[in-house]
Amino acid sequence: MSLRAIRKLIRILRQFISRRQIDRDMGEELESFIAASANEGIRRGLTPEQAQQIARSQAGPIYRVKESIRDVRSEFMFDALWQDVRHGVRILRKNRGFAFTAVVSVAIGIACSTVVFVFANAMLYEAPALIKEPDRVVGLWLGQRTKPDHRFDIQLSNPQFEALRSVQDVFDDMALYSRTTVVANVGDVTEPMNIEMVSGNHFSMLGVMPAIGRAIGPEDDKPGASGAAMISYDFWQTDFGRRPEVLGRTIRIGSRDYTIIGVTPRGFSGIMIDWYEFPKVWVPFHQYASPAALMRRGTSNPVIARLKPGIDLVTAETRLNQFINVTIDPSEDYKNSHVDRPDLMSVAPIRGGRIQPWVRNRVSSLFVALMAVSILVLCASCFNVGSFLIGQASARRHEMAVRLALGATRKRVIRQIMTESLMLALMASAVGLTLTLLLSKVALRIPKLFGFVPLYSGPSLTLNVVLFALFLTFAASFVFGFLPALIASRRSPWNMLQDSSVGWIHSGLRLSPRQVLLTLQVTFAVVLAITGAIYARSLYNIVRIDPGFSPDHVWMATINLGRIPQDRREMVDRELLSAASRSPGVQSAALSWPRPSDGAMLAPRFKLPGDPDFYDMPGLMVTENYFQTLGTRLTAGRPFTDSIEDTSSAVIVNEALANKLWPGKSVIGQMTRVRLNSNEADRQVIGVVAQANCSDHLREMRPCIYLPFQALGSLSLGIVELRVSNDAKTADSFRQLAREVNPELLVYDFKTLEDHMRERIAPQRISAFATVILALVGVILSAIGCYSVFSSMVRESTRELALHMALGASSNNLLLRVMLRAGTLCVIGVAAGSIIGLQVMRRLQDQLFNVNVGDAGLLLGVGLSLVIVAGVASFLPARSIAKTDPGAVLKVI
Amino acid sequence: LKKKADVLQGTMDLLILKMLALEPMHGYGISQRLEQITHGVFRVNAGTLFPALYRLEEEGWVEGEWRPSENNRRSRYYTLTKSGRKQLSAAAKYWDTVSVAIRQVLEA
Repeated sequence: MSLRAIRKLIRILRQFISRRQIDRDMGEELESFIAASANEGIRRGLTPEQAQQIARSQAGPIYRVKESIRDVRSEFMFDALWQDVRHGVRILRKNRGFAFTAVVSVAIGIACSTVVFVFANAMLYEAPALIKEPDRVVGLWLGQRTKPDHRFDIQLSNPQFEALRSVQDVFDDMALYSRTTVVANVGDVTEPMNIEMVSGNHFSMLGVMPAIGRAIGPEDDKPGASGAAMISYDFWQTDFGRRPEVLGRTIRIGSRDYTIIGVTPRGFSGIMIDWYEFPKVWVPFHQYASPAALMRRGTSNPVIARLKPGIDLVTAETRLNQFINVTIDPSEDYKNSHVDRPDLMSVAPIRGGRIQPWVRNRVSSLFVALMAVSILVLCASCFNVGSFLIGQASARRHEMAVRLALGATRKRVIRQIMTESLMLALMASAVGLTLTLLLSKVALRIPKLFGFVPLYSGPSLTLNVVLFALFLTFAASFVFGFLPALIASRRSPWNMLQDSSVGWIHSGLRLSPRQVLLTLQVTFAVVLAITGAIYARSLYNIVRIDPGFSPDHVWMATINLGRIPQDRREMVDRELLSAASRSPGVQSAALSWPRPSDGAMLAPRFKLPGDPDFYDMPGLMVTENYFQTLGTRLTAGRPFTDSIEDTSSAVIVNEALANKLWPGKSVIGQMTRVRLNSNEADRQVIGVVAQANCSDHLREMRPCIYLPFQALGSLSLGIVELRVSNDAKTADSFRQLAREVNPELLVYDFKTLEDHMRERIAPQRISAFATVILALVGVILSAIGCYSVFSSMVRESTRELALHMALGASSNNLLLRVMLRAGTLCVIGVAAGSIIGLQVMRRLQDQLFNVNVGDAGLLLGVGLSLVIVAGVASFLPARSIAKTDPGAVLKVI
Repeated sequence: LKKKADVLQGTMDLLILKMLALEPMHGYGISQRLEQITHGVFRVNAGTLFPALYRLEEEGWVEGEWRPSENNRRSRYYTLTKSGRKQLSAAAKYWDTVSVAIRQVLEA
């Protein structure tokens, strides 16, 4: 702040304190001006009375001059504002019903948008909680020049991380971490949990201080150090009752014991959020993974770093890319990798970088759609309030005219009405923020919202959120207050004291502002209705999706053979399956890896023998009975057997792939080449499976391949699928059975295939559902708005209609004319709304599920139902008017 | 581009500041002197003059002070402040540039 500004502020403050005196002085000064002017007149030979009169009339009314002086001086601003506020309170109290409705409907609009913002903000913008100076923390990603947008979605392998760390000069420190699901014993309890492996400098680099104990440090992350672990605050609370004795207890992960040395602070949830659960335990990298595994080139991990003070993202990125050839060893062979050789590095701020880059776009476009719809809802409610205020403005013509005639400037009148609408909006935003808190708590209860963990400890009204709500508030009050203010102050006092409004019957093409607004309201209602209908259609399609197999009565569980020696695992698998299929109630049992719709996770590389390049192909490794268990069938050939030939050289394809590669040809016996990790082999097609998807592509059947379950040797993890005749007690009896087969075999995460499928489509389902709800709220708001505006407009033109009746017009004729006018407005609104709505929907096509946006039936339905609503809304009030006795009406007014 | 009202307002400010640069004056004095100097072209009434004067005072360019005047009345006399003087020379310079430019356009 400059010295001049400070001086000015002090002056204004002083003037504010003595503003009463200034006001009195103003009067005296003006009187002295007039006296001086009168003296001049007397000197020119006028009588004192004449001079006095002329001087006064030249100066104009004193109160008016004073009012315009007050307008330019800041010390009177607060008085004026206070006056406006008091006036506003009086007016709103007089119209309590209106104030209540307005506040509630605008609050709903504000709450809808703010809830969407709360989640978008938490997922796409906020930095991870409790990190010191989060704006200096970044994530590193590798990408490829040749790909669109360079696709920065490749993580660094450990050798690359070490190479870069030794040469870079833009970061204070670099750290890596990795998340995985393990089975852990804590006391007597054995359960699967998410853990994070972190490098020794992880916590010090982030600046995260432990709640109790100490954080994992570099000394813990050395080969040979004794196992140390930190646990999350929530885990501490739920499993250890927040007792400090937790320090020193051990957690067994795999075959290794870790001593709990500290608890992470409350609210700390790691970096990434696109994982179903937050980590419960943190262990040092070198304790968990063997040095050999760490130096493997194929293993890659998320890398985070802290920028040196004063270094910005662009500088860092430019500098790092100079080291790209040091980081990525030119001799490194990418042939065996599932990605192509990266040649670019990107530095992404951790603020907003909590979702992996390839998921981020999908999530943000989803939020854009939701936000657009909720803003429409807000607009609908603002229009409701706005058109009511316009109605009031014309009803308050007299009040305004009197104020203007008494010297209020036009600016002042506008300010007064704007103050009123701002007061309404502020009340609405207070209610709206409360609603936001409630609604987002409800939204958080929806399990696995969007397939992510969006927030840690529930939503809170952060500064961002409050600012957003306030912005909406001001915007809203402007939208619904400004037009009425202009209208109320537009005409000269003289015109305003007379009655002049655009009527229904003889106004030709002229539209009153309210008629324009009514048309706009219809337009918005149509846009919202189209959105709602199309999303509802999409939702219906999603729920009725055909996965290509029959998921009822199929149960799934994860089995973990991590404690069983590698060479005995295959036998345990086999014993488990045969025991399961012998047990009563189980019709058929199979193993697979990964889950039936996670085929993209395995992503074997696939090509035909003559092709130059491999490409990614979703795939599953399955046992013999898999197809039978899931209720799909082979249309040709046979399932896998346990034979060594099948394991090393057989493949089963789905019909989508068969039709694509060998249309019209016999598929059995065709040769393919498949690479799975480092295992590459020619495989012969031995079977074709009927339509089945093994990835989570919902829109259509995608090509996919099936490999024998042992194709990668014995895995430590598997998914068991059971088709049962009776769902009751499946989990318990299977657990018992597994314990009998081998006590070291762990079984967890039981769920039905149906539940699993439902989870997979949860993001699409929830977003479509939210959109439909929002649109419905919007349509209801605008329908109420249209009806009330129309009926009050007709009511206000009672006099006009009564005059026409008195002059001989029949009531049917009048009714027809009013309806005709209303009909025209509706048609304009419906047409405009349909055009806008369709354009918007075209843009959102990729979020819709098998819905043809131009679906004529759908549009016709929406249009027709709206026309009916509009018809009823205009007919009822119009009829009641047409029935009245003109004589009585004209006398009353 | 400035709007018409702003230009007029700026001109009004310039004229008042210039009047006060001659000597401290009260409101009526300013309007009288302006009318004399411009031979009746600029006649400002109270409704235009006082809002402008009070705004200039708020800017800190002029300072008001009560002094006795003729016929036993108090009048508020306005004096140009230091920053007012600066503002006057800046505004005058700007006006010169603009008026020369306009003249050139009109004579072109």
